[in-house]
Amino acid sequence: MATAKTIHVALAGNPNSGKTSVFNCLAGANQRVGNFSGVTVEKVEGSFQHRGYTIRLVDLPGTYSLSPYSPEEKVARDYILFQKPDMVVNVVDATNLERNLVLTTQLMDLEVELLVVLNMYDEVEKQKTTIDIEQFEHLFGAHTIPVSAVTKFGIRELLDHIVDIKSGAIDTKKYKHTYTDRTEEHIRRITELVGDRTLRPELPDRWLAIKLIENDPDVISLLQRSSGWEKVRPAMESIRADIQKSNRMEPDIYLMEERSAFIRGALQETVRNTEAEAETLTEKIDNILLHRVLGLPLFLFFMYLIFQLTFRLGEYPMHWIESFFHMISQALSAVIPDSIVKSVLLDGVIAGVGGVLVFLPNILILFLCISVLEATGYMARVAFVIDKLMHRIGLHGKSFIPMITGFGCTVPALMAARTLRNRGDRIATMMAVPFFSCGAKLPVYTVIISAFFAPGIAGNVLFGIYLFGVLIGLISAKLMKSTAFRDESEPFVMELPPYRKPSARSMFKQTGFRAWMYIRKAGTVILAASIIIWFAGTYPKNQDVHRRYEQLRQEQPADIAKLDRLENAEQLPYSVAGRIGKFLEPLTRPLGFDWRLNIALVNGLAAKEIVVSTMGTIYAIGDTESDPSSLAESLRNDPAYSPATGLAFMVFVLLYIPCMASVAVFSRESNSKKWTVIFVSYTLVVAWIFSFLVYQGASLLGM
Amino acid sequence: MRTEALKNEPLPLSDAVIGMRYLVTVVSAQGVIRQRMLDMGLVPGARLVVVRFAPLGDPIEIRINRFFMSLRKEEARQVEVLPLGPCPRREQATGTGFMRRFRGNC
Ligand SMILES: Nc1nc2c(ncn2[C@@H]2O[C@H](COP(=O)(O)OP(=O)(O)OP(=O)(O)O)[C@@H](O)[C@H]2O)c(=O)[nH]1
Ligand SMILES: [Mg+2]
Repeated sequence: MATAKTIHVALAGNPNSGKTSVFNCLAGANQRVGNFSGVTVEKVEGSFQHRGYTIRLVDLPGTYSLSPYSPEEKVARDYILFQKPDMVVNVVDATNLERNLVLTTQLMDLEVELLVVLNMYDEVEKQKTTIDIEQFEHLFGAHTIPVSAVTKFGIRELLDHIVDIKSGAIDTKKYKHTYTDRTEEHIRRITELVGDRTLRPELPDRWLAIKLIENDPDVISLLQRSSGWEKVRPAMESIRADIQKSNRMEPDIYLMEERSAFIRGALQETVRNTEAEAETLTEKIDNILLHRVLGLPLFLFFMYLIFQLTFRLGEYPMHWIESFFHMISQALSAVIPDSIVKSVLLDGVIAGVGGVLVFLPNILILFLCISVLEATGYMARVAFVIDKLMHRIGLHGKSFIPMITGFGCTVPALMAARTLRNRGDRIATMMAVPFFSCGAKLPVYTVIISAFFAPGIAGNVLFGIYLFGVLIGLISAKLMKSTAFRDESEPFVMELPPYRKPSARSMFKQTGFRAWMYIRKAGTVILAASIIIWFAGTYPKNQDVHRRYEQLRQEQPADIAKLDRLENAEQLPYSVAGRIGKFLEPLTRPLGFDWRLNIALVNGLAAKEIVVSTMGTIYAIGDTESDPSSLAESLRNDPAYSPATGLAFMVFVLLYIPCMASVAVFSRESNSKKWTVIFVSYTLVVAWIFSFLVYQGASLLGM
Repeated sequence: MRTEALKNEPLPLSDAVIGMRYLVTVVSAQGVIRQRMLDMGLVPGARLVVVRFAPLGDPIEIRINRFFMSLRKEEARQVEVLPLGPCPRREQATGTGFMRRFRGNC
C-alpha cells in the first residue's frame, strides 16, 4: 500500500461535540460515547478504505482551546501540534456555534489543513435553525459540511471531502483573518521574529506569535530554552504593553474578544433562527432533577434503583443460565467415562467458566444503567449536585464521574480521572475509585448473599456493601487530600450539556460489546485460570491418603464415585493451592477465612471474576455429596462458615486490590512507583482492617 | 437582594440573582482558570442569565446563549457583571405552566 494513498486525519473539537460518534460512524468502531465532556481521554486510531485511499483516522479527547487545561486536553493539542496530521477535521456542535467556533479560529491560527464538520445537524433542524453553509465557508475560509453522527446524514460527503481535499480535487481555501488589522499587524511583527528558525521551527510561526501575545505559559516554557528567545521577548512585551494601553484590557482577553466579535459577526450573517427561543425540554427536566430540595434525594434514589434493578431483574436469567450449566454438566457426566479429562471438564471448566457466566445478566443490567446515566447527560448533573460535598472532601464534583464509572469497571474509571486538572485531585480520586465496587465483584456478593442471607434482605445487604465502599472511598480521598496533597484544589467550571435521548441501537451495541468482552474473558483468561486452579487444587496428592482410598475402592466397588469425591476433599489441603491457602491462614483467621477462601482471594488478585470461579472449582473438587449442588448451597451447608464470615469476605473482596490490570493502569496514570506501591498496600491494609472489624463485630452479634 | 441587583452597579457574579440577565464586564481570575473561563465564553461583553444554584447552594448554573455551564461561587467571585434586568423568558416561565412557549432572547 503506497503511503501516498494514505491520509492521516485527526478529529478535533470541543468536548461533547460528537467526535467519537463521528469516529464510530466513519471507522465502524465501537468507542465509548457519552453525553458529558471528557468521555474520550486518550487518542484512538482507526483505519479504513475509501475510494482507493487508506484513511488513518485519529479520535482525540475534546478540548475547549489549544491552551490545554487538563492532561487529556494536552494529549489532543500535542497530537495536532507535533504529530502533524495531513488534515484536521474539526467536529463542531452546530447547536452551540458561539462557543465551538472559538477552537475553530484557533485551528485557523495553526494554518493546518482544516475541514469543519457541523455535527448535530439533526438537532439544528429540529430547532428550526438554518445555517447558510456557503456563506459560512466564505467567512471562515474552510470547507464545511453539515453532518449528523446519529442519523448518519452527511457522513458519505464527509468521506468524499477528505479524499477530495487530499487528492486536490477541491482546492483548499485560504483562511480569513479573524482579527482586526491592527492586531494582525502586531501578529505579523512577532511572526517575523519567531520565523528566524532559532526558536521552534517545527511549530507554526503565526500560532506561536499569537500565543506569545496571550502570554501563554505553556508556549513560553516551550520557547524559553531556545537561543532566539531573548530577541523575541522584548518585542512580545512591548506589543503586550501596547495592547494593554490602547485597549485598557489584558491582551489575552483582547484577542478573545476579537475572536468572539468575529464569530458573532459571522453567525449573524449565516444563522437564522425562525422560531423564538423557548424554554427547552432540558431546562424543564433540570427544574426537577436539579431542584433545590429534590435534587439530592433524586440522585440517591436513582443510585438505589440501579442496584435494585441489577439484583432483582438479573435474578431470573441467572437461574436459567445456572440450570443450563447444570444440565450440561449432568449430560457430560453421563456420557464421558471417569477420567482426569472428565474431572477437569466438570470440576474445572464448567464449574469455573459457568460460575462466571451465570452473572452475565447482572453485569449487563449494571452496564446498561451506567450507559444510560452517561448517554442522557445526567452524569454532568451528578457532578453539579455533588460538587459542594466533594469540595468539602477537597475534591471536585467531576471526581464523582470516574467514581460512578468505577461501578462498571475500575480500569476505565482510573483513566477517566484524567479529566481532573491537578495531580493531587487525580491521585486522590484514583485512590478512591477501587472502593467503588466494580461489576466483577458483583458475582461474589451474589453468591455470598444468597448463601447466607434471606432473599427478603438480599437487595439491602447488597446496597449496604456498595454504600460502604462509597464511604470508604470518600474517606480515603479525604485522607489523601488532607495529608499528601493539602493545598492543591481545582476550580469547578463545567459544561451542562442538553439531555439527549439515548438511541436504543447504540445502547444495545455498547452493552452487547461489553457483554462480548465479558464472555470472551470467560472463554480465555478464566478458562485458563480454571484449568490451572483445578490442577493446583488436585496435585500433588498425599500418597498415604491415596493408598487408603485405593483399598477402600477395592473393598466397596459400588461406591467408587462417592469415594472419589471424598478422596478429593481429603487431598485438597495437600495440593499446591491448599498449601498456599493454609500458609495464609494465620493472617486471615482473625477475619474468619479458612484456607479455601484464601485460595479464592489469592486468585482474585488476577481478576475478581476468578474469585467465584475458583470457589466453584474448589468446592466442586471438595464436594462430598454425590449430587453437586450450587455454590451458594455448598457454602451455606459448610459448618466452617457463618453469615459473619460471609460479610467479612464480601468486605474484603470489596476493598482489596481490584485486579492486576487496575494496578498496571494506576501505575501508568499516576506515573509514580511510590503511589502504585501505596495503592496496593493501602487497599490490602484497609481490606484487612475492615474485614477484621466486621467479622469480630458480627460474631459478637451472634451472626 | 433583588432591589440591590436592579441598581445598575457592577457586582461579582457570585452575588447575582436567579433569573436575572447580566453583562460580563471584567474577568479578574488569573492563570488557568481564567483561560478556561475565556475559552468557555465567559468574556467581557458576553451576556448571561443566572439559571440556578445547586441544591447545596453551590455551584451556580449560568446560561450564555444556548450554552449552560456551572462554576463555583469561588470562581464566580472573580467575574464582575452588570445587571441588565430580569430575563423575560424566566419571568414568564415561573409565572405560568410548564408547556407554554416564551418569547424573548436574553
Ligand atoms: N442529536 C445528535 N446527537 C449527537 C450527534 N453526534 C453526537 N451526539 C451525541 O452527543 C454526545 C457526545 O458524543 P461523543 O461522540 O461522545 O462526543 P465527543 O466529542 O467524543 O466527546 P468527548 O470525548 O467528551 O470530547 C452523545 O450523547 C452523542 O450521542 C448528532 O449528530 N446528533
Ligand atoms: Mg469522545
